[in-house]
This record gives sequence, C-alpha cells and structure tokens, in this order.
Amino acid sequence: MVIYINSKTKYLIEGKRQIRIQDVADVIAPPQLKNKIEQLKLLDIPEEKKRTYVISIMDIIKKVKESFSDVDISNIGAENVLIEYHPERVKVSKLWLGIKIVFIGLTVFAGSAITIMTFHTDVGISETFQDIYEILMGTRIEDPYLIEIPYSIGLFLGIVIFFNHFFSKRFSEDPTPIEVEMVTYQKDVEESMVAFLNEEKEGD
Amino acid sequence: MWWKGLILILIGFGAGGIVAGGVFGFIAGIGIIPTMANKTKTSHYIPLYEDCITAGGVFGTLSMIFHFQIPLGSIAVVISALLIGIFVGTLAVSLAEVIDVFPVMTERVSIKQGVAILLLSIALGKLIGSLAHFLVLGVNQ
Repeated sequence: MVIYINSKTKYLIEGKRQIRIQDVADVIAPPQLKNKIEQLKLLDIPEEKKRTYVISIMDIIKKVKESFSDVDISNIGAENVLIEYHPERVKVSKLWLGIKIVFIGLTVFAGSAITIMTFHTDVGISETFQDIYEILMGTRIEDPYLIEIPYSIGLFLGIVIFFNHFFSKRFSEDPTPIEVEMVTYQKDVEESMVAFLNEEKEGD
Repeated sequence: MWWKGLILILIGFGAGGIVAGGVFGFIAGIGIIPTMANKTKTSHYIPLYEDCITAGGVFGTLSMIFHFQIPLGSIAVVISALLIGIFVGTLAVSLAEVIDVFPVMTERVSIKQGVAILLLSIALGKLIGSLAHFLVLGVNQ
C-alpha cells in the first residue's frame, strides 16, 4: 500500500513541544491509517526557547516505517522542513507593526527620492534638457518646462507601469515585481537555513 | 513652431519612461525592500512600499524642476538624513551581495568563523569613511 505525504518548507509551531506528523505534513491514506500516522510523534522540542529546527523527510519516513513497516511512502512535498518554534503565541502589536511600516515606508520614500536626484545630478540631466531645448528652440533657458514636465509624467507612468499598481488600485492580478523578489528571497533564506541547520546537526 | 514643442514633449516623455524602468527596476531588483520587509515581518505591505518608491521618485524629480521648499527645520533634516543613510547603506551592501562578494571573499581566504566581525568591520568602515569624507576632508568647503 502506498501513502502520500506532502510538506511545506516551513511551519510555525506555537506553544506545543511535541511535534507530531500532522503538524508538519499532509498525509493521504485510508482514514484509519491516516489518523494513526498523523498522531506519530516526530520530535520533542528540547527547550522552551525560540528556535528553528530542521527535519528531513527521511525522519518522517523512518518514523512511519517503524510503526507500519508494510506501507510504501511517496513524498510529493519538500525534502527538508523547517520548524519555527515559539514558546508562546506570537503576538503582533498593531502599534509596533504600524511604527515599522511607517519607518520602512519613509526610508524607502527618502531613499527613492535621493536615488533619482543623485542620478539626475550624476548624468547632468538639467544641462542635457537645456541642450535639447536649445537645439530645437534656438534659445537656452534655465528651466525648459516643455521637456521637464513631460519627463516627470513619463517617469511617473514608467514606475507605475513597472510596479503594476498605484495605491490600492491594481491593474492586473500578477504579483508586483518586489513581491516576486520577496518569494525568491524567502526561498533562498529557507534553503540556507536548512543547509546551516543540517551542518550544525552533523557537528553534534 | 508647434511641432518642435511636440518633439520636446515626446523626448521628455520617452526619457522619463526609460529612466523609470532603469532606476526603479534597479531599486526593485537589488533586494533592499525584501530584506527590510523580511526583517520587520511586513511582507504583506510590499505594495505600499512600492507606492512609497513611486512617491519618492516623483518627489525627487519635481524637486529638480520646481525648486520648491518645505521648511520643516533642522530636526526634519536630521531625520531624513538618517533615513537616506539607512537606504544608501542597505543599497551598498545589497550591491556587494548581488555580485556574491562575501561568499567569494570568505571562500578565497577560507574564513570559517568571524564573518559577523567581517560584516561589522565593513559597516564601521563605511561609517568612518563617510565621516572622513564630510568632516575631515571637508569636501563641501
């Protein structure tokens, strides 16, 4: 008989120290067997401390095989599972969250402004605009609005099209570029975490 | 000559779009925002941060054109300077990270421990370098 197990790469465990298979995997099997397998104990968190543990899918297979030697296990999920253990429920204070968001928002705003300003200074965009204006109009003026204002509008539209949304208004259902970047980043972090924890485990 | 004006408008508009793609594609791709969002566990608010980037970009561009003033005083200067510093510092390190400077260097000189000290040294080096640039060398005088 074949049973299927599917795990995500990361699970958040709050408060409980006995990790059973049901906490870190989905099992497809006949109902009774499924129930028994899900209740198998996989790991005891050794201490009441916020820490991340890694278990390999091999650990799960071994555990199941110990009790049910006649089942074949097919893994269709992750190979390594991260368990982020918190001794207590993670409470997110609204105020603290708000402070963080405002802080990052302001940093990003200021950073973005300084980036575009230094870029403009770096490439001498004002002089270039004056040059272009002079070429076409025959006179040189301090602020050629005729080119600067369309430039600003073009810049704004360029960013909005690139990010694919402005304020809550989304133009399509695709995730935004940074959301895509975020997924890649989290995957990288999880992968390194697994490698790091496994190395630590072998060191013991 | 109206068509010359039209050409200017087109050049300006096109330049804006292209620069936006380059500069803001760079900000989005360099990985500063994911790092910050991950550190603060606010990855659900990334669209908001993107709006902040948009607003900052437009603000920076308009300041070039209209030379407006927002006299908020020296405290505002200090705060915005701090924020800009955080952003540029993150940018500089992200840039080094993207081209794998740290993995390559630590591998070459086979450092196993003390990467934290290495990173702290880089940060302190940047701090001292920045202070030396502005205070000791007096580049602005």
